[in-house]
Amino acid sequence: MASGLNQILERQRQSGYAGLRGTFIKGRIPIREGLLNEVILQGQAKKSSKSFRINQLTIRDNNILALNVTVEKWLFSKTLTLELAVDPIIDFPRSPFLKIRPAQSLGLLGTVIEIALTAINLPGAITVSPGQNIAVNLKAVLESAGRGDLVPLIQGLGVTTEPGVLYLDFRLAVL
Amino acid sequence: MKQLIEKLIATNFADLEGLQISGTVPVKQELMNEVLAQVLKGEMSSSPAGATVAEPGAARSSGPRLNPKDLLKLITHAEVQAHEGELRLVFEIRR
Repeated sequence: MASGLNQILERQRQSGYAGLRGTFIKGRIPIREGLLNEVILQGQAKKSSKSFRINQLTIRDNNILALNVTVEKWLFSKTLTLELAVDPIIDFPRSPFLKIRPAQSLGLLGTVIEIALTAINLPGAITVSPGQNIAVNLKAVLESAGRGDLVPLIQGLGVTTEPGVLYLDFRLAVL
Repeated sequence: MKQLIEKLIATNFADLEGLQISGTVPVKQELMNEVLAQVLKGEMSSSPAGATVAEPGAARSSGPRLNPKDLLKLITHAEVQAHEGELRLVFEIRR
């Protein structure tokens, strides 16, 4: 049974944090590539399909992520480095998508990658559209993590990078 | 995720070098009185020694728990300002 203080916290969550109206918090969270590689490693360990495997993620300047991946589909097998550009602004909450796209055209290889990605059952919050444009629905990610209460509080999100580090900038407000 | 948070704590949040968070949290007097009533009921004294603050959302999941002592190290500025009907907590966190 939740304690009294937890009940107060839960009531605040349900009321949209009415008791904290006027709150404004802004910040910058650095996420290092070592940490991201650990997350990727842990995530892939749970996957049964190996048709698309990320071997190494490198964070570069100017919002570029370099992914060393192995694609295996039917008789096709190739290890290559994909350069992906991350959109710096996330128009939260109107369009809560983190958008990632290839920094250069991949041609036929891109189509094979798309097919391989469909075989690994990506989480529902991640979609891959033609042209290998990847969209991560951050609203869905928060909701699946049990933190849907934060969604109305987010006023802005942004992503910038420098070699080895991705910075997540955020603004939260209780209106 | 639990392992990652444990690693962050074990390395004194070294991976968060460059972290900056600042803000103002006005706490309405009604909310403060609710919390005070719980404290007077013995809520705090009934907590076990070394009690931890649950990570947000922990009530719905079995996520990792953070000890307030670990988080206090990151606070570089904190003050309370009294205003009519509310207390404002002004804080800054840096690593």
